[in-house]
Amino acid sequence: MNSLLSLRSEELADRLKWLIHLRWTTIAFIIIAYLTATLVFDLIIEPIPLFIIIIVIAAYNALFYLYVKLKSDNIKEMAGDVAFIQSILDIAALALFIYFTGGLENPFIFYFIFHTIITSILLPKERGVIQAFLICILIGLIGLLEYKGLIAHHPIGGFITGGLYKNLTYVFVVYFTFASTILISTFITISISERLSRKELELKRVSRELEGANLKLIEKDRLKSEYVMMVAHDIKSPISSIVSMIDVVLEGFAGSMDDKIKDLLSRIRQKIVAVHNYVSDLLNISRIRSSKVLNLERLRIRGLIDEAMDFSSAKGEGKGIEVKIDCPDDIPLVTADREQIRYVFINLLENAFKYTAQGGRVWVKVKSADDGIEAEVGDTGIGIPQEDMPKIFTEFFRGGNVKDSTKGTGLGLALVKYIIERHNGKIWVTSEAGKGSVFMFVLPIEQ
Amino acid sequence: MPKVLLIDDDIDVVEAMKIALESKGYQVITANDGDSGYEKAFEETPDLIILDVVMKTKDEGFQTSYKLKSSPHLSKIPILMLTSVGRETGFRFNPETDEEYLPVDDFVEKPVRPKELIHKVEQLLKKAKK
Repeated sequence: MNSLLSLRSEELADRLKWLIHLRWTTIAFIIIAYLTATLVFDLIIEPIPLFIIIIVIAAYNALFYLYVKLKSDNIKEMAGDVAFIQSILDIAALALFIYFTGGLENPFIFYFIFHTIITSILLPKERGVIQAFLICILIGLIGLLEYKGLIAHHPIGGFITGGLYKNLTYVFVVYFTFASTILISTFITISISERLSRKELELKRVSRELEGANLKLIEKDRLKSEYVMMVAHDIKSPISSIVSMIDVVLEGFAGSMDDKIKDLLSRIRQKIVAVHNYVSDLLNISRIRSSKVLNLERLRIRGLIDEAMDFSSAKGEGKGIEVKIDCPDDIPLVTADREQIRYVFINLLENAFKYTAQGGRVWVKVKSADDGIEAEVGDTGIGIPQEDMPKIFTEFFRGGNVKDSTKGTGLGLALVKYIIERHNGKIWVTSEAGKGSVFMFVLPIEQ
Repeated sequence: MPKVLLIDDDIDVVEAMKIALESKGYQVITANDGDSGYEKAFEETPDLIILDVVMKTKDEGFQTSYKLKSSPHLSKIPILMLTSVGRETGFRFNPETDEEYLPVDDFVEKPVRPKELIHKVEQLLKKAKK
């Protein structure tokens, strides 16, 4: 129940302003109704009490407006009480209005329905009931006291003649209809809004639970990556030693050997280097995935591209590939993790060089985009088959046209995508098999 | 012939590098951890030190390099650092930008090809002579 109340008061705080607006509208409506009644229908309504009531409503509405504005920080705790006081004041003002415009002879008494529906939705159950009974009591008192002649009757001149307020049957039937309508609508509204609130609360609880479960999953995934990282690290270092030792033998430092041994040893080296690269990729992906926070700094993209180019161009050595970097000087600095963004460029460029044949082209193009930069790494290489496009960023996936011909782990692009998305960016690719590929990504300037 | 001190906790890597360097006539002395490496450096005053980063602890090599470079007796000896942490992530190894943090003269990534190792050693010694 407490949480139900707090849910309501949260909603109430939002609705208080709305109620204040509604009250201004009501004042306008009363004035228009008055003018229509007197000018169009030639009815006679005493103007002074009416305008005093309007001024009173306007005055307390203005006060509430100021109150909400000044207390906007802690309005939540008070919202329920403020709304209840407003509702009571509204009832009193409307009852006075009804009293000065014919009492039970005024068909507008049924407009109290709107009041009771709104307050029953917004206020707790008990207060909804209280205000409904208050409406019934006040209107009942007006009817009764007028009937008994204890208070003066203020008729709408020219509307009803003959003083229906003195007709017991009329007074009784109208009051009974009025009171039952008010009470029944109040109870219906309360029961519907209670049910809705409970559902809403249940939804909130479920979504909080889901959120918690999701956080746990993310943490589990991070722990898994940490574990993979440790294992990969431990595997990598002996593999690295093996390669070092094979190289010493293979390059003849440990003495000469016949060609057959040399050939076999080269094959061993090839296989073990493939494993080494695989474990390196695994180490990279798990290291990045297990890191809790990004190591943010302001980066000059051009510098990163140059570093990445230095590193990656080895893959294209001897192929006479034409390289072009187009990165204007006025590209803004980007707040990002240096190592990770460098990895993105290295990976995309290595792929570009690896899959581009003799005499092809590889290019990097960077331009400013909305609140960020847009980078493009393109090549005139073998491209990506259409059917592989949707899976190209999936872990361990390798394109049908490269699986057998070149070595790779299928982890690189998955990690690239992960990094870009972790930086709140987006990556996509356009490609045509045989013609080349263009990888494009956007990165926001600030994280 | 120049004297090279190899500091690496992997005795197989040490052996492989030793064979390669000795074949080029270098005199090679070895150590298997940072502390004994530091002591060896003091005793032998090598012309060059090849130092692994990850030994007993993740940054033992870094610690040793600080110690070596802050000793007046040893600070002039060039250090070639062996890294296996990978190229893109983790520690940063850019001698140009990180010089002030890491007092080493060059880096090479494991597994290093013998020819590349020899080339780097020659370069560093040449530079040190000048």
